[in-house]
Amino acid sequence: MVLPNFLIFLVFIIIPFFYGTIISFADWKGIGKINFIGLGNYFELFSDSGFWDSLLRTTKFALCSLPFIIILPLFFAVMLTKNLKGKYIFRTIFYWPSMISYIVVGIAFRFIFGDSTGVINYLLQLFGLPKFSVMTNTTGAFWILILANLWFSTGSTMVIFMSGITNISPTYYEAAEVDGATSRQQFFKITLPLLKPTLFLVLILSLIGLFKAYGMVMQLTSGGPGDATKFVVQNIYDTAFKRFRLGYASAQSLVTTLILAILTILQFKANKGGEVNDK
Amino acid sequence: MTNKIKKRKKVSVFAYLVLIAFSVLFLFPITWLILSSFKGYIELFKYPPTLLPESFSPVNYIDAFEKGNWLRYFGNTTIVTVFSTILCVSISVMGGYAFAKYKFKGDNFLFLVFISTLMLPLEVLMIPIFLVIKKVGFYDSLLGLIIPPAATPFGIFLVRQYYLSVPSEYMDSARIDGASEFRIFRSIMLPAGKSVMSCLAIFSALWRWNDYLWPLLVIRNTDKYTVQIALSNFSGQYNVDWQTILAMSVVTMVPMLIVFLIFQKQIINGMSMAGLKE
Amino acid sequence: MKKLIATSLIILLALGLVFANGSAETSKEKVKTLDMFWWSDGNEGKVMQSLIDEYESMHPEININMIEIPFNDMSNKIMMSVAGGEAPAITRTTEGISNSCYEAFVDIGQYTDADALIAQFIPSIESYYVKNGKVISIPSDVTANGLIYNKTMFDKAGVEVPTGPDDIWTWDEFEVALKKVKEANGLEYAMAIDNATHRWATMLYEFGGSFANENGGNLGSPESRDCIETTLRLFKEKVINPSPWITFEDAGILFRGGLVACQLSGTWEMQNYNANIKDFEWGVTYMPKKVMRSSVPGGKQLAAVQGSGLEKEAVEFILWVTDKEQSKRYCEESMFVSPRLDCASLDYAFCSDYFAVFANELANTSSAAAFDWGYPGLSAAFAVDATYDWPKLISGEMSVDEFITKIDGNSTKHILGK
Repeated sequence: MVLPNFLIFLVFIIIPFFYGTIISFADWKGIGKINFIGLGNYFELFSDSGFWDSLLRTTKFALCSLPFIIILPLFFAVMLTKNLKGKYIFRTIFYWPSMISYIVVGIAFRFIFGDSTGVINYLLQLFGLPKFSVMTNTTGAFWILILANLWFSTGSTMVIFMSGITNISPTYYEAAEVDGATSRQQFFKITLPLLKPTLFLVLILSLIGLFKAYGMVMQLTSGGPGDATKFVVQNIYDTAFKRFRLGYASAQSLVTTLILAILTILQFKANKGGEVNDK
Repeated sequence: MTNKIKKRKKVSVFAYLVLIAFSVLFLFPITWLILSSFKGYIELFKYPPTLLPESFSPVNYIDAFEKGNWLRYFGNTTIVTVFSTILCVSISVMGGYAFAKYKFKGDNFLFLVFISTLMLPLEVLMIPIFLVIKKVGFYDSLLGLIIPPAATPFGIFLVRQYYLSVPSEYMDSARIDGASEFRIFRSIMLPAGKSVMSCLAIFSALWRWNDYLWPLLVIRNTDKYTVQIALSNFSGQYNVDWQTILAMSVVTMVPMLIVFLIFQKQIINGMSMAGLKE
Repeated sequence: MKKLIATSLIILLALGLVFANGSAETSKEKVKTLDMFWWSDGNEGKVMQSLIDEYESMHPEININMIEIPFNDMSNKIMMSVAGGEAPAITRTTEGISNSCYEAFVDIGQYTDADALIAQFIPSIESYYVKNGKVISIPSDVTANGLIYNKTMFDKAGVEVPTGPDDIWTWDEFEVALKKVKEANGLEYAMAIDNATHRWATMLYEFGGSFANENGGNLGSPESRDCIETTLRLFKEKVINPSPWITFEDAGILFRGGLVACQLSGTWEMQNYNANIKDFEWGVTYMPKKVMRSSVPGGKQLAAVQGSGLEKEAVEFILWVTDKEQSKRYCEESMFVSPRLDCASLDYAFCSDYFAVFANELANTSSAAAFDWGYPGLSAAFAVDATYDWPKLISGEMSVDEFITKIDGNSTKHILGK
């Protein structure tokens, strides 16, 4: 049953991946001769502070974002699977940002937060208040990205949670109701434990998504100010298509993937794959 | 029984206020986008910034439709989205179900391989993937946009996690009744998975609809362009045709909105555990 | 479920048949189809299409198929197509794209007299299309960096701009003028510079500096250092708005919105500003000089790509479309400056005076520009870091010495190979 998926996957992802691995041992511009240089790229990588800095920044970004991008959608999902008036409208509103193409996200956020032309700074100036230079300072840009990512990803995560919550048998809640449990108790004693597989899924997917943050970053800060928000994928992309060092970029992406894979495997083992604990 | 669920809880006023506050925040950039799609170039970049357009004339939309063969692009994108989503849901349900409910040799290893590849930045693999696509014969064909992206590890992962929380007892009791494995899958587990299938359909449709990377890789000729590639063509080296981009990106949201409205009900109504017990 | 799989398989098969049929027919026809990669900033795609139509009516056996590619992915797309044996016959290119892809381009010198060809174009852009002695493309249009200013604001401050090429202001005079304009109009900043690389380089050359030269990185030279320090001081004194460099805010929007009184930009803004600035009068004037005058040439070229099997036909078309008559028409209608010496003065529908100023700037340009932007692969070595590191210089996170050491190191490594 896994076969159809696996076959397509093998051809279009695994084979190119091995090809990429071979390239990582070479010096290649993307065009012209491929020059094999053994482990040269990997040696360079270990002393490349630019790469490790970007990896560290990405980790920081992922860890700072993670609580928000899990808790907010969970809250929405719990609320909007209840019998709540207007729940369809709320669901649509929260999901809406996910539908927007990246190409217009940048211009919308610039309109709001832009340093000289943004509406926030315009309003502040109107009231004679000092400018709120959120995009020009390192921390500001960092949090704008967290905010934008939250705005963009909440809807999708909410949908996953909703699907998980409806999978919980109502009998549990009925029993709890009979026992006179409060809604908070029900959430922590029933919803949360039974949602474990979904939570695990969301945790892994969110982490990977955060580590791969690229499109949104390019639209909002392009990695700036300076390289304060230059995350690992942007660094790899720069290496490949701005500095034209495809071999080195392949080595960078391989090492990044390896580190993330190890993290995921550890989480998988720790959570037993997110299976529900049998009591 | 359903009455009881309905009675379960009255959401407090406070929760309502929170939801409304978030709605306003979530909607603000979208409102700006939609309103701005009616603005002229001068108005769009006016300082001080304005929210409302001077007039709601559809001139940007009319111009945009004249600037490209949009019917074709939308047609291509629709074909890709529909077929890729059907394929994605079918193979993911099979794969995910197998991973959740059957133990086979190396299952955990295989599963980890699947989800580990989620981390690969595909941008860097563009040239290798391109070579494979050429070899397989998918180059410059919509099939290349339908088949490869359908095998997403996300799908398998999503479905697996969902079936993990569907109790295996149903299967056991069915087995005692002498049902075949296929019958169990078809008449018990598949209906039980309606919710997760809707969920996956929403995502798959959205990703294919808004995909940029695969069309960039696979498609050569303009007559097979998808909407996102066509949109990106309006952003040049020095100038970006924002009116066209804004107007068309509003138009591209509509089909996805419809998809969401259809399937989101399925997510909630899909699960009928109670029915299974009887 | 079964039904679902079955239907989808049948549909996929059907689709496969349809597409397989579609690709089989082209080979039978006698017409040679030349794919041409293109992107558009304004109306130049339409103008090019009309030239193509004309060429096709003269050569019925040729069919040129213009394929628009998103500009940001142009290099990728060329690389993938070449690697996969699907090279387009022709591609539009810039000096930046050529720097990464020129090894895949046809040496046009094999088809025509290279020296006679080169002699037709302005000398300052030679390094953009001649690499290692090979003519890898032919220029189709040229851009020039220059100074666009808000006439209304300058008049209000009583500041006069140079009247002609004999009356060029110095950077000191320009700085005084900027401060006056800022004061008189109550501006937060007087000027915006599009970016920290290609546009800032204009200033760098005027100060007598450059990013690099034959001996490697050159930001450490006294002239370059003076320029870096002056730029930094102008940011600190709030003369230049740092936002376009730090947050990538569009300098053009700042200028059009009246937030700055002048913009260091270039010819490509003419069409846009002519159509979209209604609130004030604007103009183009001469950049100031320190050691010398300078602009930075840029522009687009057309290249034939190796491996399409139609190299000869591609070169023939490129030679035709960049020839005098066609170049004149293409540049006049698209509001471009022609790179051809015999098309030096063209009749534009508007902004003719402004184009004359740009042309004069180009004629007085430092040769360092051609080296920085034309030396194979060099701009990739310094421009990426300059973009990331200028904001750090402004915020004080990086010192001028660190900045120079890092970027010069990259350039030197690229040029001398160590």
